[in-house]
Amino acid sequence: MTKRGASNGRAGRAASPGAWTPLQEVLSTCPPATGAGALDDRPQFAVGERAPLGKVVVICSEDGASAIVADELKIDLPRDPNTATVRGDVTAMWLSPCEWMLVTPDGQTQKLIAALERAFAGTHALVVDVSDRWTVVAVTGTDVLPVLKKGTSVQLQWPADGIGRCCQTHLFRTPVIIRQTDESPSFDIYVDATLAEYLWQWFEHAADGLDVRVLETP
Amino acid sequence: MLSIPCPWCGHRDETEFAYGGEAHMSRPPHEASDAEWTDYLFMRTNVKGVHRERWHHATGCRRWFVVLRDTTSNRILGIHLPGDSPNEGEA
Repeated sequence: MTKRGASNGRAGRAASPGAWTPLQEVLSTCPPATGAGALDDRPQFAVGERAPLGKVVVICSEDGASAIVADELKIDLPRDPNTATVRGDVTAMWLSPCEWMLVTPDGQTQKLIAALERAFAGTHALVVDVSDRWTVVAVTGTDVLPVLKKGTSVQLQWPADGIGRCCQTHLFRTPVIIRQTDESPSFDIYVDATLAEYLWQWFEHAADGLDVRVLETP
Repeated sequence: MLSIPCPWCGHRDETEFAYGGEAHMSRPPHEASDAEWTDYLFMRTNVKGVHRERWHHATGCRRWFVVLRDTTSNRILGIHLPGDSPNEGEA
């Protein structure tokens, strides 16, 4: 059974009005990572679901895509496999040769897609809105790597440039995209929205015996 | 557990991949005989030794590539991209 930290009685995560996310109900029963009653040190394992983000997949020849996306979003597409580039609140992740995922704040995808489709007109390219397919789960904590290692054999203990790393793999057979977000390390895990609750159940099992908290993620 | 070297993602466990059968199988033309279709659909070389086979990195980059695997030892001897010469490759 997962050891839960002392609860202060408040909901673990405040959902934005009208912004439903797949994990908001299950996470609302967990104690928060901050606030009265929480541990002073970093939690052993903390999970939070990010508010909805815009996600667009671009498939195009590398030369054509790089210039067009750089012009629209002022961000360079990562050229090396399993790497990501970040500029402010926009992220570009390498998914495969000639395929990238662009992540933006919610509400910007329609304008972005329209601009990219105009720019790609006449070329062999594809722009797809996948915002509703994926939800993003943030994980961190002193024991985040041992927990994740129970689900994948991919080396996630990346060196100093880990913030520019991402990878597609599976956590207990659930296809995910994992991107390191800070040096703690912390990670953003992109998971199919319909499998998010299954992934949470797997986290509960893998973190059994640890103090599990919920992040107040933006 | 095989460790398969994806040309883009590097070595990953075989659980990330899907097996795609023998490589370099040419689809016969539409007007082929029943015998030719039968050979294409059901007959394979069944090599005891170096086997050229296709693998799909299903939960990774989702690309296909060709692996040269020794069926007696499961050692992977080389890989190459689809369309490259069958005699080229690097483990």
